Amino acid sequence: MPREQGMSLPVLSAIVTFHGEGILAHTSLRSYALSRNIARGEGIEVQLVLVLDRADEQTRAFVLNHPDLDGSETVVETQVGDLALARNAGVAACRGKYICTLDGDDLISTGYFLKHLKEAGQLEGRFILHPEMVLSFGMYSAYNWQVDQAGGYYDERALLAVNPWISASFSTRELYEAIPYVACYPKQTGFGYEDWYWNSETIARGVMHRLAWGTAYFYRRKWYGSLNEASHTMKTVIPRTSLFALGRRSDKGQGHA
Amino acid sequence: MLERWTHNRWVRNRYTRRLANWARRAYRLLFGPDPVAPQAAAPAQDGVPPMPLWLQEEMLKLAAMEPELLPPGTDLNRYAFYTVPMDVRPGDLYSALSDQIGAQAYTHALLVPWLKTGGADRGILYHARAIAEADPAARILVLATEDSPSPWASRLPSQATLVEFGRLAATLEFNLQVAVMVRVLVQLRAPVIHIINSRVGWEVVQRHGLALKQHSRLLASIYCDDYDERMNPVGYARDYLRYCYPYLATVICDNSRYPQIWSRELGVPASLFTVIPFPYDGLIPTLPITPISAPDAGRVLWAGRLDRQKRPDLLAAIAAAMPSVHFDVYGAPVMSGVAAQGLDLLRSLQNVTLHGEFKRLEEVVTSQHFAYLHTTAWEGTPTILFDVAAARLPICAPAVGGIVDFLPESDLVPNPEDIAGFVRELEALRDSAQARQQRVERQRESLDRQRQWPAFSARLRQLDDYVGLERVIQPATEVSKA
Repeated sequence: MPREQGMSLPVLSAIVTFHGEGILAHTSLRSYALSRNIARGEGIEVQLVLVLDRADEQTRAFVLNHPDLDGSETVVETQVGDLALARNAGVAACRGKYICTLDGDDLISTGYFLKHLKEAGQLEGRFILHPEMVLSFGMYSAYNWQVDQAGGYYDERALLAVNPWISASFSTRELYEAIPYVACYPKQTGFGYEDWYWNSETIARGVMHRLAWGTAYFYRRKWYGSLNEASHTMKTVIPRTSLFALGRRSDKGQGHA
Repeated sequence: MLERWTHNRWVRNRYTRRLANWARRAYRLLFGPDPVAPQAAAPAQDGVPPMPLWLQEEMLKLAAMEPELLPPGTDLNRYAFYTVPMDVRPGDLYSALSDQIGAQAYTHALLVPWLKTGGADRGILYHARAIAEADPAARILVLATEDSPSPWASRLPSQATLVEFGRLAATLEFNLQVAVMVRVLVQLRAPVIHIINSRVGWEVVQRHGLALKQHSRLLASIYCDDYDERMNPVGYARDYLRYCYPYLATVICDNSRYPQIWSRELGVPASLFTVIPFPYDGLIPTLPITPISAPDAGRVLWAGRLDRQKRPDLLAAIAAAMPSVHFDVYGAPVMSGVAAQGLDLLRSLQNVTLHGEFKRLEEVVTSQHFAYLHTTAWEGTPTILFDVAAARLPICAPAVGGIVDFLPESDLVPNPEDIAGFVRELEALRDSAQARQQRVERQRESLDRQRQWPAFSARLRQLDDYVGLERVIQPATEVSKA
């Protein structure tokens, strides 16, 4: 059951999922709290929805005792054992008009929340925002621009072999409720990459994946133990998706209806 | 200002980023460094855009919080530029396949290398026919995964659609072919996926068998091993069975010998295998039966592929040991190395005529032949022996592979290398009309008892959920959850 103390109405709810991040959760929460403070400075309230899914005791303690928490956060404890279902549980606890998803061991640029909201205010139709840039650190160090579906570089056909976006996403609560994440249970089913699958499904339903310009996601590339690594090592594939429905015509895929 | 603009929303792909770098360099040459930027970004090198200044600034702020961002002794140069690859080739192939496969549901997906002259190809046709006969509503998708024509596609039943995956995918790396194939199969959700001698098919099962078995029954057919130059066993069984068997409902084999070998040598459970002998698709002679051989027949017929497996060197040695007997040899040479030397020896023998390729065995059998000689190093079940039996010609063959399922061991040469044994057997057939009569009677009886179409079809129906699927199949286009 969600536990929360603050009652001010947020514009944005940021879902952070934890399972076994341990002490790394501490740094991530510092980063997310910093961005929240900057949004608050502009009069924007951000609800942090902290989802502890089968979290180990250590991770749970680092999250719940974090010094930057001020009681306005919502804590959701689940036993679903699946990132997709954990995010969905987070969505159910969100009160903001907008939602973004974050992982429990990464960091974000300081103006992350503000700039996503600013970009969202300029867009029409159904959209999902991703941070403009990803900076990978840890096991390897690299920076890349993400792909704007409205830009010339995007091509829908490439989604068969690559997921162009990291899992961090931002959209309306309405969209997350209409198109929830789907559990894959990689070890049991051989299916995986729930975010790749979600991206495919949303594109097939006419949602545009755009970028929040001037934002960056600091993506911790673990030496071992990440869920994405598990999907990769197990050679999982995304489940059947309407984006690749047989008999359906495919093209660059900008502006699907 | 320029720094922010050229690193912002306009910079959406590698080309515009490159343009932006040129613009920045030109600006700096004309007007000096951007006064707003706290420090100039490094110029682009080899088209690689530098990290934007705003990101550098963010990194410096967060580095105080996260020690791994800029460990001591390192700087921003530790970060390499990366581009999300947008390779559209797999997607293009998938689109082409999607057009040909269409939106209709299929009950069966058969993954085969091709459909052309050959024993295994006959087997593919048998399976397709049995599926179609058992259920007129069955829809069969045959995916030919090698880059080679399939002239036998016209022999498939009307419920089958052949898609030449291998020809469409010819320019794509093998790993990407596998990625496209698994997407096809995941989207298709055919209740049955059957792999018959398709390497792409086997690789898909090895990598993604767990995912595929969630919605499909996975089966494979393997008939025998091949052997390399050192006579070590090689082939799909050796490459894949150990890793794929947990995903397979069963492995169909046309003979009883190889399942024993694979179970003993590889450790895969014997219960994995289902022995289903291939049927004979011609007319079985009626009783009473008499050999085709004339009383004075003095020639031996050999027909097959002149390759290493069929041991032309052994054939040459047998012919050399029987100079009074003439050998009519049919078949195209497909050889190199030691086997080619056997062919040279055959050419040098006065009592051997190399006739070249043949199309149908019935066209080359004559009453002047007293026996059909089959030399081989390894076998599944050579279906040509069915044709020989139906042609009423006595067979002289070794006790190898699935031959022992078809003919009594007492009629076979125990050791496939035993030249003297073959010679003795051939001489016995040449010299005794009674021996020829009894041999063709037993051959016919074996055809009649083991190789009738209804028996084959019945065995397939005994497999769980292989033919006559009663479940309602889902349309391939249905949107569904994992």
